Amino acid sequence: MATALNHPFYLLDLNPIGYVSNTMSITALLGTFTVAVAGVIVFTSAVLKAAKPNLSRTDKILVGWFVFSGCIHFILEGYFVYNHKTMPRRLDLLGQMWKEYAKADSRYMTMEPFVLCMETITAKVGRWLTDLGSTCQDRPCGSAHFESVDLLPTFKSTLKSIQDTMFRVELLPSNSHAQPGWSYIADRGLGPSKAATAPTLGRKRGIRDAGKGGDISSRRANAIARHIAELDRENQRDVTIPVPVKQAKEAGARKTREKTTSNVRRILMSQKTFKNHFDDEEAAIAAGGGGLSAVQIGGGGANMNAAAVAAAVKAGKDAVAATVARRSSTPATTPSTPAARRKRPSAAVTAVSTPTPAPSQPDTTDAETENDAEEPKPKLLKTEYDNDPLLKSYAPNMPSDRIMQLLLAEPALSYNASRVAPPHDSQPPRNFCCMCGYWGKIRCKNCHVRTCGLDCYRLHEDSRCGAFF
Amino acid sequence: MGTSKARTAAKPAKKPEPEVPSRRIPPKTFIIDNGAYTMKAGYASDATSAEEALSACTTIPNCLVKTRDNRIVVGPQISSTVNDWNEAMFRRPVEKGYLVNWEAEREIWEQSFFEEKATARNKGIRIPTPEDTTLVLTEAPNTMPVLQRNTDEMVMEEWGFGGYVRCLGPTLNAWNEVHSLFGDPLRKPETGILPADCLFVVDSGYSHTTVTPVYRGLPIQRAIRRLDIGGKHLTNYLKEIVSMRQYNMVDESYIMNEVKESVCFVTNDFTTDMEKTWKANLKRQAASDDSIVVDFVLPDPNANKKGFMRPHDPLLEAKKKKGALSGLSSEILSEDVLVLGNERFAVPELLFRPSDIGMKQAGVPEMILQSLSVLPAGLHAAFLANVFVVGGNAGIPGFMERLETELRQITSSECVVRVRRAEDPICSTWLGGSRLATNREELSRVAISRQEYQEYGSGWAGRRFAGNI
Repeated sequence: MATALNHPFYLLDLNPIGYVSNTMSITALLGTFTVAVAGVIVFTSAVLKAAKPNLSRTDKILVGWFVFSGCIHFILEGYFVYNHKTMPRRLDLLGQMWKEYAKADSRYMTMEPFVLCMETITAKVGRWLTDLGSTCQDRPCGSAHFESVDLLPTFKSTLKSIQDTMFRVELLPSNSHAQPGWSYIADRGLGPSKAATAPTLGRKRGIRDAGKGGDISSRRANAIARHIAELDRENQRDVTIPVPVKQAKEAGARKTREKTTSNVRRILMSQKTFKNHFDDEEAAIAAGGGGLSAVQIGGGGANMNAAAVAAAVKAGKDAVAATVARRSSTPATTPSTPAARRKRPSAAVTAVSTPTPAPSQPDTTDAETENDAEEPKPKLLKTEYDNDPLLKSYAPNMPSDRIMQLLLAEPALSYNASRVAPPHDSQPPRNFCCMCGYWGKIRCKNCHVRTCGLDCYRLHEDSRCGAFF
Repeated sequence: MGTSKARTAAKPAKKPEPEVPSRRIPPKTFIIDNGAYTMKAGYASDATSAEEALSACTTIPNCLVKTRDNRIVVGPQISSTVNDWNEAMFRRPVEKGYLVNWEAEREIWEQSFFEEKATARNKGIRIPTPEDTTLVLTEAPNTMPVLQRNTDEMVMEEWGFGGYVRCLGPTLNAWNEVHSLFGDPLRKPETGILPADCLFVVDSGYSHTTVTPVYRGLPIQRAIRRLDIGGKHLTNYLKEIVSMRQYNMVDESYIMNEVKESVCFVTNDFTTDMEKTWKANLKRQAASDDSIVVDFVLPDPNANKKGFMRPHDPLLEAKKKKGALSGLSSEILSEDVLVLGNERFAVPELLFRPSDIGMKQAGVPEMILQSLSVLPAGLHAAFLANVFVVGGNAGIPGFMERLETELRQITSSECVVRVRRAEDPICSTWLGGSRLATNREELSRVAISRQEYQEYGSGWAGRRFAGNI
């Protein structure tokens, strides 16, 4: 018995159960097959010559073909269908033929469900059709019945046994992970490198809708970025406005001025703009240090973050604690959790006067005692529909106090991370006339600026068409 | 008590017991909401009503201005000295919402709060002895740690405040009296001043628009999102459009800001309004009252006249031509008029459709959903029912209606969506800080004292404000 590793089939980790390698060479197998085929054909022609000497040549070939393929379907594939479970270890002639064939299609070795079903149908229906075909071929000639018709009942009984095997689909261990090799994948990108392969059908539409999908040309993207930067400016022109030094001296500057600390001097001398600071920060983050923020936050930041995320996911479950969190009149910003926990039970204890001093009480009991301590809630009328599932409110519960503490303890996001994301639903972009502000219906072919109509377009063309976008 | 005295007094006291620096913070609290466009500053008062407390709040432009005649004016003096805003240039220490340039900021702070001569006119916001004052300073969400550190060092080492809190601006809003605004039952007075349990703060400011879920006065950092469109972008966009279509206004940021503030509105039906302002429909609708098109008369510094808005007069041009012949009053002839049609609503539309200028970021309503999507489902309903809008852009007419409509459309129908604007959207954060200051217990919990800073340094302060200690 060979192990899974030394079988000749492709998909290297295929596991043909109990594989035994062939004993006959491929030549011997092919030779046997050829002889068998030739025998079938010779036999058919002999039978035809005896039974129907007046058949035309075409009809003879057709009948021969039908008998040949019927034999293939019934004998070869029937063999497979019948023995599919033990294929890898079969050493008889047909078994060895199948193993040779499976080198091209290894599904035949693993009881692949599709192949099994298909083969079952082929063996059954194919043989039937072939029989019918060869019978019909005879019929028009009007003479005696062809033998195969008499053979039908025997076939049927054989097929019955095949039927038993038919719809027993067994799931096999799937080999879906990546295999060495390559395959064809449709690449429908619209990038310039794929221009040649992109379908030519919707070319114009692709250009026209370029703005919609977010892949606008870099030139246009630059123009937009420039425009936004322009809108961000304080003054149209670059001006330097120095701090009026003279004024400060005149106004009797405070005497403490001369003993500025080195920090203050450094900060005052710094000519850094927001962009400089921002670049520093980005570089620090990219370097993995997280810049000053990492220093300030300390080690705990990441841990807390993960915990809070996990906590927020299962937030819905902590119902009791949450309602309390909402109603309770804890101090404005709840101090660190352990302190709050220790404080609360004691307050509750004095109110309810049940001596249960338990500093390490779980949250829920905590909550219950406090519930008791609170003033009675306004009573609601009880009706029989209170437990009606149709009237139940499915509003999610407030997260528990602990989750809120974790959320509040999270460090601040970076400048970039806090910027709002692009809109979720991509509304079609609105274009406006550059001259009058009405809808921009037509686009200047030189500079791609929109105008609303011919009036505005002419004005634009005459005076402002910059041709550079 | 002078600075030098305080130091000499503190040092010998610290030597024997270096482990426990004093946690005591001075009782006087000064709050600075350091916005990019204006800073809101003032002493916290114990007044219970919002109006009374707000009277202590002063709004100071947070910039240096270089006027047309090359004078450089510092923030607090702008309102009294600058009349001619033509071609005014700005230098803002707060860049993209983050306090970057301390050289300029220190000058503005000195002129606003510290120097005797400069602050003589406005004594209400003078800080004579920082050592005896607790400073509450706001920052934008997701500030880079290096900038936070700079801020801490400047505040504690340059001025040496006795107590110091640095916190996210939006979180302070939770301390405001939002229950009456949302129509919730008021809290029992004996609970004292506490932050709202769940408040979803949308802060649409000068540099950007951020959303911050605030849970009991603390931000949930992971859900903070930022849209890089703010008032500055709207002004610049309007400036750009007007310069393209009518007069060249590229250097007139201040004037265009005035134009924006007086004419812009958020439309609830973009398509209809767009049709209404189409030039071909204009003639038909000229007589109707609900016309969107308006005229804005530009300010004339020579005649000391401010800009103002008035209904559109389609025949103005013709009148002027005729008047020039027949001797119309020079006033009408000399005035410059901007005609504003679809610019009025297409500009603030950017907040809802940033894709109109090609920006790949979601609008404000979807930003809210994106923010909620990283929170436990139990919190969604609570936050959606308490959306609180602050910041200058909240004042644009129609903003609230549009936000509520769109938010309603994209959220689950089971959630209640309530969107409310702060009574004073610009000073709301400051007011929240003022109310926080009246809760001494909470304030001393979050604040650090001068002794602590001197003992532990700025790295510790950063971790402390990040909530890691």
